[in-house]
Amino acid sequence: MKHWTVNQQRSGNTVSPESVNDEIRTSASSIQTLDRAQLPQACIDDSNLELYALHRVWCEPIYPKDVVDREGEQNNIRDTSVKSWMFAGLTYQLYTSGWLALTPYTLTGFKGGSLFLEWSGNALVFPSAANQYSNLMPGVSKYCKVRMSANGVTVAERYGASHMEHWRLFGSVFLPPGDLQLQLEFQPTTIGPDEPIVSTAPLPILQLHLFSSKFFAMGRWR
Amino acid sequence: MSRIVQPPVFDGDEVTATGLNNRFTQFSQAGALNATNLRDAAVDLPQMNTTSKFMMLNSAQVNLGTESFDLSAPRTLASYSGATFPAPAPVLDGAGVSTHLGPLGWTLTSGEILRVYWNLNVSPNGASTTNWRVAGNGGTVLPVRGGGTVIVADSGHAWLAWLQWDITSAALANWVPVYGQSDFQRNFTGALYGEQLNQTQATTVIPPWLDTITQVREGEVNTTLDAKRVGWRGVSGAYYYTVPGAPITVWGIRVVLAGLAHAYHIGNVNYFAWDPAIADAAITLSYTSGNLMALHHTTG
Amino acid sequence: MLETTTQQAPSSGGLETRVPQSSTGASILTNWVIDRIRGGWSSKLGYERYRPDPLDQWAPYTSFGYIYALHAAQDLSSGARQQIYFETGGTLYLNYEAPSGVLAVALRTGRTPPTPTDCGSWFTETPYGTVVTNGYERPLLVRPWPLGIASELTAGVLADCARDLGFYGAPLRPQIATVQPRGTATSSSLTGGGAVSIWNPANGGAIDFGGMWGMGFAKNSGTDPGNESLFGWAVSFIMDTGSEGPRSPMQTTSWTLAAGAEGFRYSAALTIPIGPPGCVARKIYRTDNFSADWTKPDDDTLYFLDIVPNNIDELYFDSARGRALGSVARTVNLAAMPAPQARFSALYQSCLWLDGGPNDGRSLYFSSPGLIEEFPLENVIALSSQGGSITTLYSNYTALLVFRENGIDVVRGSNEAGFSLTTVSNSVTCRSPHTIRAIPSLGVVFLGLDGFYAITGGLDGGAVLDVVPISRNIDTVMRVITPDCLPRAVSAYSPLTKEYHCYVPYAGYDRPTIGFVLHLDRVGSDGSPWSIRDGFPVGSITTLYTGDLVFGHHLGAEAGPQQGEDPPAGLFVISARRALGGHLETNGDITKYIDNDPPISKFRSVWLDFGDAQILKEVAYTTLWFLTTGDAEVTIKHLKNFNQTPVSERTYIAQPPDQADLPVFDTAILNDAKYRDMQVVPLRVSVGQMSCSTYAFEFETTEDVIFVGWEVEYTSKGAKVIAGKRA
Repeated sequence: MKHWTVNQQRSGNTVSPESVNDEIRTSASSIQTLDRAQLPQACIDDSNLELYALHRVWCEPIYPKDVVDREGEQNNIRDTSVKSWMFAGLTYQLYTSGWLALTPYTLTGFKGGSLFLEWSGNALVFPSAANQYSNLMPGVSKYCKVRMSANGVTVAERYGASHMEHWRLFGSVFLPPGDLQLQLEFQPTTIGPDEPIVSTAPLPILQLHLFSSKFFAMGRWR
Repeated sequence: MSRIVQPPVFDGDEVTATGLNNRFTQFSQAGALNATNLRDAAVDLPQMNTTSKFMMLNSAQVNLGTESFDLSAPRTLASYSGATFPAPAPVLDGAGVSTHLGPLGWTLTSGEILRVYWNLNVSPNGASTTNWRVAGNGGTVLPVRGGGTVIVADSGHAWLAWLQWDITSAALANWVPVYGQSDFQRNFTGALYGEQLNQTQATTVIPPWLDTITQVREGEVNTTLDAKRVGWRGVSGAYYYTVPGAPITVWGIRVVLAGLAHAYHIGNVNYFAWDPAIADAAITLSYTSGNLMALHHTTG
Repeated sequence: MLETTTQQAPSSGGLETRVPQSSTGASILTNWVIDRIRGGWSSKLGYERYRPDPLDQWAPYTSFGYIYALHAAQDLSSGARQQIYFETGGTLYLNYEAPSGVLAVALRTGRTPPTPTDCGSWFTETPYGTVVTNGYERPLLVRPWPLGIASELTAGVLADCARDLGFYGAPLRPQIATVQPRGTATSSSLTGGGAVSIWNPANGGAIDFGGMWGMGFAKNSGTDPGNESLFGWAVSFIMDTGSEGPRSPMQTTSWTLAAGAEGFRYSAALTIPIGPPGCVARKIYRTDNFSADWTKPDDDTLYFLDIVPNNIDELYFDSARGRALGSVARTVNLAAMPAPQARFSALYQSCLWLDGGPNDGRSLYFSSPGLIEEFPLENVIALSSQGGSITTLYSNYTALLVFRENGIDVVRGSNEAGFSLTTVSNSVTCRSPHTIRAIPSLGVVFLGLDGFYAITGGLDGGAVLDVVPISRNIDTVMRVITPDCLPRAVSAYSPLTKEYHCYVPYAGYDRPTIGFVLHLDRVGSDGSPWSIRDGFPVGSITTLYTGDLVFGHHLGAEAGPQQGEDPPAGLFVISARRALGGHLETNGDITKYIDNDPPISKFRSVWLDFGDAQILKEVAYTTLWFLTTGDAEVTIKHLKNFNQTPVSERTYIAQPPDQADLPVFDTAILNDAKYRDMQVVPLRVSVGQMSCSTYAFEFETTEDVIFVGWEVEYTSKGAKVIAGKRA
């Protein structure tokens, strides 16, 4: 911090220890604790900053990736008994209800501040059986709802793909310092009262598959 | 060196030139100051050199396709109709010239990320329902209430859009799929070409049609299907590259299109396969304008 | 030869003017600071520009006149982000220390400058920024961070740095688009006329979470239109301080289903008002269906519905079922800012306290705890009329001190237990708000009408609260204050020098002119702790994180008879600089700041009667105990019998009288001289003084001296003064 005169010397003053010590001590203190008013403009660039000083990126260009040959795909429910010309994925034979989560991911070293999250991918939803007799009205498309949260705080949620579609979900939130548990979740439309769940083959009908999944997260602080 | 460590002067010490000089020379050493000389909150917005490449190393954007706001003059791309696979078609402007990013000359190294975002206005068309409802391929056969069967499209078809880059030179003559992405040209089984889903990091699917059943009742359906073209819609894509290996220099980035592929699986492995059952050049994808943007920044 | 008698003051005391004076004090003690190592009186003081570079001249303050308000806010702990605010010419400025140079950034213009009977703006630190009040304009909440470089300080950016505190009033009602239910045909579509028809399937199987959304009746089983759905909405604003404002009046709408309609509930489209600057969210409340057709007719209780977490969105779609409503809206009646012309503020028991301002001077308003902009209607204390209007508020220890025109009240308690008001003085008051400071070991010190007082002790735990005069012995000097301009007095405490500085309008001046300094080091000793600071043009003063005292010039560039060309203006710091500020000098093409001469430090002893003024004495020697500061010259003058014509003695220097001189700057030779601590030595001066009844001695200097005490040797034959003059 800057200081002002603490011991000005004048001609004829005794050459006392404090006449030297006071100003040196204060100047040294000042130069060892330079503050915002003492630094020049634009003196800091990337090369001056510690890693993650201002921001940190966590990114998986394809996620989840814990099962070989299934990188970027949901692995929660994988019914391989669907017809060949279809993805092995979620069928109502194996899915009942609720949100399904991709492998959790830890955003380590979050320093507190803004967290920007982005999750995108492709999804295939079998939409054709929306007009169900017992629903009376109206016919409503089926969806692959998607939601992402950090330490339980929902950052964004939406109705995602409704047939063969690409989706992208993004949002930001302020969070306190500490590692963050990132949860990427999806939820198929639950089975309707009249749902055909097998074809005449008979083979289970794929209801949903999620693939090309990837996320990007950026924490910004200070 | 950031600390200035000099003992204080004491009563009786000699007033020497060396003693004085030593006490002050440390203040003037070139390059002596470092991070430990800064107090807390010393660095704020004004101290940041935001005029140069600060965290954000590079960014660029380009308009994709052709402007046709009333949709009267889109560009149109035909579906593949050969026996193997279609050639990826770059997004062109009204004069048929490729619209892409480049030449960029961005060198990507460890600790950096490339983020690419794009969007495009598209409209699949040109197909008849006979293309859609092929049992065993794009159709699912369902029992009809009261007897019989009906084939409904299974929504597994897709136009595919993906990213290619040129990481060889500013000439932009060597477009290849971006890292983690395939051109879907592998003969992965029998006569089928395509690629595994784990090679679709930069892929965006575009639905060509939507087929719904007008009434579903107790696990059976009626025979009246509601076939809809999906019409004009905006599609988008995102891609991240976090430099897993040696540094590369990205010279160009472009969006390419091809169709029609269909979902396929062998055991536990999922694929996109070019569907020979609907290899029909009458099936087209029209597009007008969009945007392609790339950001290159540090990860910390 | 007669034996001499000695009177000593081993530690020279402070200023005393009331008679009889103590034996160790001073009749004049001007421009001295306590030497922090040895405790003597040191002349090593002065003041310098806030900005050290001489080539900056007076920039950026060149055109500024009287700086009548000054405050250093600590935005971060450990002084990491110190914000200095000052006010001059009706503009509140931020002293923005941008790397490109210090900028005076106008945060709010058009403010009313104080009259000579007003004090400058009042500042109170809160967790959300600094509250600034002046008794004319709305209170401000100031927090100028983050800011960029000079070119980035746009009007929009600066508008966010200082905003009006509190709510202007209740928001406008939300506007509800007509809810137009569809008929019985599933394909019917009803639009136009500003109506909306947003249906929600009432059946649980129609859609995932079907039946979860929508308001009102799902069907009309009758054959006639009926089953009215009647709802009301209200909106409130939430500020960045977390405070919620008053709710808007309720806006209602209703709809009825067509005969035989079923299957759908409906959503409403609300246009919600945009909040004032500082609003970060809107809170929406709604009733359940309170039509006569539903189970709770006429029950228009509002429930929490939702928070819109921004101040941008204007359209809100309400699809919430009655069961999805939250808790009942708070019944507390929140008010708009109750004191839009508050003159003073304080933070006590987590509540922000405001006086009502000049037109409402006996009302005291307080916010909800922790929510400095949330003022429930009942949070007001009406003060008794006897005490007069509030002259300032000061939070200290476990109480809020309410200074009034004719007394001092104390607020105690808490928001939960209730606050109570007690009068602690009906006679002493403070009409100089900026003189109030909490001083270690003394309590709360302030300038009253007739001198300085300290409020000591407390009201809890058996402590006794007392108002104690602390300046009786300088009453004569106190009479120089311009009485009607007392509100303009300013003060600050420096932990660096352990001094309380109070600058007051002097001898008819309308603004601070002369300073009274209380030296904490002298409190509790035999003598007075006071001295005078003269020649310091303090208009307003505050303490920086370092303990340094910074002040705003009391004249600046203001036109006036004393003002020459390029008059000094802006901020200055009281330091050990041996100069009374500076001036600009042009040499060639370069104009730069040059130090002025140092201040004159003057000491005069008390009038010594050596025990009995009737007996005549002859003073032989006067000895000053000086520190050997070097070749500084000291010329002692002495006076007798209250005569103001002094007699000068020889000039001495501050060197040991009976040893070799200590080396001094400009003559000391390197590798020859040694650093030497200053020593206490006697400067014994022979005094040629005929017999006297009372004796005093004095000296003044602009050089660097430190004196500790003195002694006077005298003889007496016992002769007495003659009888008094006959009438």
